[in-house]
Amino acid sequence: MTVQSLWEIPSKPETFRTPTTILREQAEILSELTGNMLIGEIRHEEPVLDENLFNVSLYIAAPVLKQYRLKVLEIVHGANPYPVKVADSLNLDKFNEEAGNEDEYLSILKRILSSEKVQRAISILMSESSA
Amino acid sequence: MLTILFWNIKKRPLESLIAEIVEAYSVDILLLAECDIESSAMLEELNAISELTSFFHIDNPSGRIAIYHSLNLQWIVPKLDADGLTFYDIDHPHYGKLLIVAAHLPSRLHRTLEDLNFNATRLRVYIEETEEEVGHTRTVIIGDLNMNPFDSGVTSAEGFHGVMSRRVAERRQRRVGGQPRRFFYNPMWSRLGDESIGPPGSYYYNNSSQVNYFWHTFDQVLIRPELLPHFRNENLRVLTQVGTRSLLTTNGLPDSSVASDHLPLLLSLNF
Repeated sequence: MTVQSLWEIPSKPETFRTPTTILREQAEILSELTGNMLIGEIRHEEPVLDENLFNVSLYIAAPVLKQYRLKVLEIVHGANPYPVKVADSLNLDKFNEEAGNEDEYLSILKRILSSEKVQRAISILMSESSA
Repeated sequence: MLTILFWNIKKRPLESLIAEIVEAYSVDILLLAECDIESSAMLEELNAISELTSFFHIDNPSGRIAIYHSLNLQWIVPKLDADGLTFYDIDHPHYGKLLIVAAHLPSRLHRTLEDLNFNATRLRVYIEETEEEVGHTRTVIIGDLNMNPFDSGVTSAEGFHGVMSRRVAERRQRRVGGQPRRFFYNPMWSRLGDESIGPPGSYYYNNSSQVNYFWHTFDQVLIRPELLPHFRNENLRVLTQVGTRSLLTTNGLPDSSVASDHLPLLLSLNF
């Protein structure tokens, strides 16, 4: 008797990007764009309220400035990647935002990473790094 | 003696007043929160004080705290900016190594007290990691914590672990849940209420809640035991007067028409 396969293997496996993967991509892009003058760093942070939540932050590190680091934002999500909360670390006096899916998440990230405050910070760090 | 002035100036153009305090108390490090003063204007005032002393500005990428100082530029290095804490690693030829942590934690308008209390856990980790990185625990935190000395974020072992007694702090650490937790001494406990040295707090806020402290001591100094031999209680002051000018109204409240609704905090360490 021939054994019948009960599996259905997709011909093209689905590529799923977690919020942390997306953050890591942006960290790498920063390093590339600044010729490694500034390095995007991803750090897994100590959970604050709930041990079951993932807290991941994006930092800008300036190797020339004795490894100075600036925290840019932090994401928090549970076992499921979405919804994900995003805290803008350069706008602490602002409520955190929440993204229900990847598109919303990308839109929040874009707003923060291209904000005036982040641009100013990058400009200061690049100028001091090249002084 | 190293003198540090911290003041949340509520975006007021107080450069002349600040320069007066800096001159009167020979301030070495000036830390300003909610500061919209152009650095060129502030430096002009500071550098007019004396021909013998030059002040410098460190352009803080987070913009949360403005820092001016009269130390040699090689002696002070920014290390980390995260969640309202800005760390400066100081290596002074006479005073030795110091870690100055300037604080301006999120406003209570946008965070609950519970948020701030819980978030202090994270801040403790940043402090411990940076102390490990610089290789010592000669640390001072100074700034606007937006919590009172008795709030759990400031007192708990998982948070800042600031205690009211120098003698307790001198034990250096205790084990909590099997984990070693280092103390800070929080001298601001001695600055609460009418019988304390100076005003009843550093900030006054009146509301209609059932629990209303009216005066708050959000502006605080926390000192690691390793630095306590260099700290005398009388060298910490909440200022209410600059020269002949009072920073208080006739009712004894911070006068935001003259200055800010927070009062300046002055700390000197003797070396």
